Amino acid sequence: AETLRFSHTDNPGGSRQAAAELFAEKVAEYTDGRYEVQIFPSGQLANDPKAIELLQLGGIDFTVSATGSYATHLPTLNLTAMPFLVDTYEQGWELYDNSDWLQGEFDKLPEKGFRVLSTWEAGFRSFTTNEPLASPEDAQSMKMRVFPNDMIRWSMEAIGFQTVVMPITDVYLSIQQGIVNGQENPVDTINSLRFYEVAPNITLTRHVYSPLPLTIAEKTWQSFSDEDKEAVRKAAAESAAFSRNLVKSSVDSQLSQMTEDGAKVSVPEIGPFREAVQPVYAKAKDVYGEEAVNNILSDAAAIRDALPAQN
Amino acid sequence: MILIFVVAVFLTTVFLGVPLVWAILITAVLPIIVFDLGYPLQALFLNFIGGVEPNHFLAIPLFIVAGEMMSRGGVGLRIIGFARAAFGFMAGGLGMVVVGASMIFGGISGSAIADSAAIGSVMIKNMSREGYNTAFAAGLVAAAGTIGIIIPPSIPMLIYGFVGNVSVADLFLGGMVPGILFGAMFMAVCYYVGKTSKCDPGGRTTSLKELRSSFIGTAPALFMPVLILGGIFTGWVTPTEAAALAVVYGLFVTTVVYRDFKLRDLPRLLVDSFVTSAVVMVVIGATTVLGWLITLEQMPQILVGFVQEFSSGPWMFLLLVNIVLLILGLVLDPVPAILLTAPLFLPTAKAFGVDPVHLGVIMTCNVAVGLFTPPVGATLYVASRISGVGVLTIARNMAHLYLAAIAALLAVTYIPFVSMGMVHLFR
Amino acid sequence: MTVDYRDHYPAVLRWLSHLVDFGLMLGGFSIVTLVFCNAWLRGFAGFDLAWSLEVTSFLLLWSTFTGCAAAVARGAHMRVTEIVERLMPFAAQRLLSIAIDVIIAVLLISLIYTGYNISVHTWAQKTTVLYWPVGLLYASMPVGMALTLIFHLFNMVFDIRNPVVPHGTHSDGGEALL
Ligand code: NA
Ligand code: NA
Repeated sequence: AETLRFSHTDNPGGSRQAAAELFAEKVAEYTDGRYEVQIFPSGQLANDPKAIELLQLGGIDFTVSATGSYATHLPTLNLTAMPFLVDTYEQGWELYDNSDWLQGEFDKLPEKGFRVLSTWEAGFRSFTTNEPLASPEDAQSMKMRVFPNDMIRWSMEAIGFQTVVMPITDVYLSIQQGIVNGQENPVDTINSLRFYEVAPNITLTRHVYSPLPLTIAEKTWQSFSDEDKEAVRKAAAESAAFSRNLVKSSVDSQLSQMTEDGAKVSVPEIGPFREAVQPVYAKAKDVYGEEAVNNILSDAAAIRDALPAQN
Repeated sequence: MILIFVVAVFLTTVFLGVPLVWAILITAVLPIIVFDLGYPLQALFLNFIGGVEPNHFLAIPLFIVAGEMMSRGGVGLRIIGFARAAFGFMAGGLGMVVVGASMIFGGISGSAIADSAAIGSVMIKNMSREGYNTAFAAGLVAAAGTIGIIIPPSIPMLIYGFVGNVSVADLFLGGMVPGILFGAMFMAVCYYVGKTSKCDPGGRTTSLKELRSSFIGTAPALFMPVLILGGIFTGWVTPTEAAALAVVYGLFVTTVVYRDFKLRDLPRLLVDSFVTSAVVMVVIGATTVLGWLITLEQMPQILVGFVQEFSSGPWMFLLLVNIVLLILGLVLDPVPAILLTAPLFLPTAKAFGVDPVHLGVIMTCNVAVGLFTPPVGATLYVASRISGVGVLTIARNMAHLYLAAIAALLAVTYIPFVSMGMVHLFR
Repeated sequence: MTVDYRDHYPAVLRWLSHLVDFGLMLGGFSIVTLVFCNAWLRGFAGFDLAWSLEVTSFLLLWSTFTGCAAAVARGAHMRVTEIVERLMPFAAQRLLSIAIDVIIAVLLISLIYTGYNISVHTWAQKTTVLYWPVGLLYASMPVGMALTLIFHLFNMVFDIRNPVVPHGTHSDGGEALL
């Protein structure tokens, strides 16, 4: 069997690792053992940006990473990080699977050296802070760690935080030492990187839907026969369905586990946050162009209408 | 097979006198060609860049600059003078100051390399001026600096907590007593060396008045660690920023207060410090390249396989964990060593009833020791580069320190209370 | 054999070495200033320079790889020479050192070549705050290695022409900072 290398930054026991194991199993099954997928978790081989560069340079064959990580290669992908585009998982899945605009963007990636196979789940981004965060007023006195990304930084500044750009590996210690008051990430990440230990106030704003496109090196893809392409695509789709159900269904148990460990979980009134981030859309139009922003906003609005939240 | 080849190539090139950075890169490239592994060189060498990139490495050149400034001006001499006055009554007092400073520093920084750079650039030269064997002084700095990753905060413990799903808070608690134990053992070595080699025999008496005047003269210099510690504890600055703060404060003290450093010497000092730091950093970058190959070829897994096969009980398992990590520590840096082995050791540890926190502390202490064992050891390199003494010469003069470290390691491994006492107290 | 080769360089090479040192000085100065100012601003002015992380990683990469070249010019890279000097006759040592120098030159050429390719491949990729080409950061490696190669080749020729008589007092690590 030919060995294909899959690198990701989730830890053993995390949802990405579980989906990667399923993906590896399915690839072996559907290609009749012609390919074996070897998984390297925990960023053993590379952090997220380096993994994507390794896709281009031929060091690995697959990776799965937040959409924002791919945006350094295609800046318009940053638009998916605009706040409050979708409100439910079902809307998010529809956006990533069927939005004309997003599919068009994904189609530009093969010329960069990699392509999207399917989209795995990570969930919605929310806050953990060392002081309670009930409204944008509370944000005024807080320093918020953001990952290096325009859209997230603009949103945080619009809410009222002072932002501090910082790599993910420094965040735990920085919260502990009081350099920042908190950070924002999906519940899955908050749980696996244990941010609730130092910033126990978990505020479920769900301000950005932040899933994980699974990508393959274009060179590897082109080396497949049509039959194997189909097999890998099928394995990718099944692992995506698995990942989506797993993450969606484990959020509650993760939250209750963290509560048991001392975290305080709250759902704030979302209105004021939604209100506060309005200027971000205009700023996005300035930087990324009116047309692109209007396209994704209208796709998202149509999806929200077609699949209204049921609660 | 490849594992043996890698070790052989590495030892051959290093001992034939190939500069370390190239020796490590050759060791990473040769197996790919010889065994036709098919890894593209551009992917391999991307890690050379990636290994140098992490932002917290900024602390290395910055602390070297700060330390050099303090030691070129008279600040280092003043600190040594004060330490002499305060601890001269005790054999090995000056060495103990190095260990104590490393422990305090370890309490604020999670990186052993930064600690060694900060303390080594002030202390090594001055210790040898005071009669210490330079190689021993460098070795002491290399060993004591690693207490920084045992006493919390600790980057390797953080990584272990993430990959092993273990509470980082508990790990940090668990590291406290072992860190103090390592410090105490190293201090005992200082006492012994000071006494037997007559370089620092103790018995000096200092009147209170003398001590006071020495303190007043040194106060502006002694304020530097206070500023660094305070800046970090109050959440004002990150450890990296504290290094820059130290540079600016050091410049102020040496040029304005003591007036023994001239601004026109600053460019030369910056260049020399950045060359020193580059020499260490490219070696770190090169070990990242080798680490990539070791990961891809799953070499640690082979070693762990042996451990699982030969572990007949917890006692044997922990012994083998120590041995494997010390072997890996010969060629790997702490973070990759933990990343690669922790997920594999944990299930076996749980099966034998070993607490995951205890295992994490054991592993951290092991990789800490790996930092000052040749041929690959980051703090050893820092100390070697700063002192100008070769890695092997330093290592030869560290025999007592190695013995002390192994004694502390055994205590941490086989007396769970050492690491778990604090955890049970606060959990 | 720690030799500060810069003393023996012809004018052009000496000039190049000064240029590298000047770059290091400038880079070092900028790093100190930038990190210090950012801490100051965050603490007292209430804002963080979002671009400082990117600029400092840029400076750190460039100063490290050009610093590598500066270290070669100073003969300052860490190595273990004790064993060869004790166990090998002097003539054999010289042959060995030439062989090693050739291997290092080959390694450097492959680093330059692949580094160039890496840089080209990542040029279209933009950093997240300043939108600089990522390839510009990564170009530090091939450029630094190219400078290293230039110094290395001269050092090699110098060593072939001027056999250094081993002496007892030298260090096998880098030279001490003076
Ligand atoms: Na520490
Ligand atoms: Na070692």
